[in-house]
Amino acid sequence: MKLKKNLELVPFLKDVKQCQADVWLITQKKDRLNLKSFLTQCILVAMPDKKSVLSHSSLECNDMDKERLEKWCLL
Amino acid sequence: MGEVAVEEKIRIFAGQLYAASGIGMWCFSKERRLFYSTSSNQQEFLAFLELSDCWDYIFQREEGWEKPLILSDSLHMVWIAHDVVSEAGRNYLLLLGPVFPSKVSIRHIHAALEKRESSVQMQRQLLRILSEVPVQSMEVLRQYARMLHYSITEEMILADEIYIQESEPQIPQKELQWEEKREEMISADRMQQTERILLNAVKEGNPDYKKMMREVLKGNSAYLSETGDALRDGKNTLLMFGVLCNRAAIEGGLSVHLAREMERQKVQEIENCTTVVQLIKVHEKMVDDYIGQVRSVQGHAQISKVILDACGYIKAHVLESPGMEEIAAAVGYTPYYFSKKFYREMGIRVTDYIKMARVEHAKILLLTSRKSIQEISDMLHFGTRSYFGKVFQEIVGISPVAYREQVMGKENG
Repeated sequence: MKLKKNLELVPFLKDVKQCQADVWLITQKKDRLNLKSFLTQCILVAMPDKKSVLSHSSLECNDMDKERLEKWCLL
Repeated sequence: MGEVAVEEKIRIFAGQLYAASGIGMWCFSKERRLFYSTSSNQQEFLAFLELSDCWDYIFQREEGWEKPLILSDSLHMVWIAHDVVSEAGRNYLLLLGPVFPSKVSIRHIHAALEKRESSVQMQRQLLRILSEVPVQSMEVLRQYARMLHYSITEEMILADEIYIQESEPQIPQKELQWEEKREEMISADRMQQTERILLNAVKEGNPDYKKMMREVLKGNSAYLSETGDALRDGKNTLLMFGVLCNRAAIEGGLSVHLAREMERQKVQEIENCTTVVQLIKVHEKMVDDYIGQVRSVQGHAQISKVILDACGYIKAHVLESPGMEEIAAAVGYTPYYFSKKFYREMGIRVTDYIKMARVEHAKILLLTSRKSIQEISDMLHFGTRSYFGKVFQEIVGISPVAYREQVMGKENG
């Protein structure tokens, strides 16, 4: 799933925290980040080019969590 | 001072705090809206806070925090929270932070980041921001918490009146996995004055230790180990202190059996802590529990000074493996009468007590050094590694290797 452009990072990550299984962000440079990890969340928050990175990344999660996160994704 | 508005006093305190330590102050509405902050990197630190479990912990309590609350996230960044009702009747919440309780916390995070499948470029900015988080010991933070409370209420509070976060962070500690070996760094010379007071209080079963502490507390209790992980360092320091408490309690008359049982329980409580602030509570409870037990025993003291002296001699010479004759001679008895008297008062044989003292010392070496099992076995004169393992297993219930892995590696799993 591709993420929407200009998504609000903190509310999005709060939603990720509520997911049942791990949620992975695969960046254009093939970095593989577990978004449920607080440390990873901090990495994203600190990145100056996070909007660009997020908009060029894809999301991997299970079907149940997809429902929760689909509002942040491009259909 | 009573004529100065609360807001003005807080503003002055915030300025002084930032000038002295670089710690920022944050002011929120009860609806979690930020009014102002004196912190650097506001956007990032606010996001770290909102994404941590501290955020809900602070705001979910209905009755608020009328005294300071100390809490930390899973990166061991510490925050101090306090509710304020202004003279105009406005409710808001003040936060001090973030602060690392140890200068090596950032090093630990750096090591954890190195294991991640994310590029160095991505991590660099986080490390830069975290390197700007001020570092202060927990004792100093507790003083700041008391100062904040005084600025708000003009009431003096004691350090043990500060609230400590009780819930566990949602993120497991394996976040901060780091497998670097621990350096050997135990040193009796580094025991702080406050620790000496506490240990004497345990030995004497003196419940007034808090009063004595207030008179001498200088607010500087550094960790005794520096592994890079603030939580591990806090645990190591408390484990070492726990061993000393245990010895002090035995010297105060607590039976070896009960002391051993208490020690197991305390090690478990320490290892179960998932944040640095939880260690504060465990520390206080440990001292209270030992003092309570010693007081209970001293109510009907049965152990003579001779036997207590003998116990002290055994522990002091544990690396020299003293024999029965040597110990008996040290306290002026023949081996035969000494062994009878020892068994009658302590409930165990001298040889068993020596074994236990050696195992206790082995536990410290296992926790605080990277000596091999063979080296520790040799140091404590067990003869062979397998005999050391057998004795250790009998007394502790697990092998030395399993003990080291269980205690030192618990948070990695």
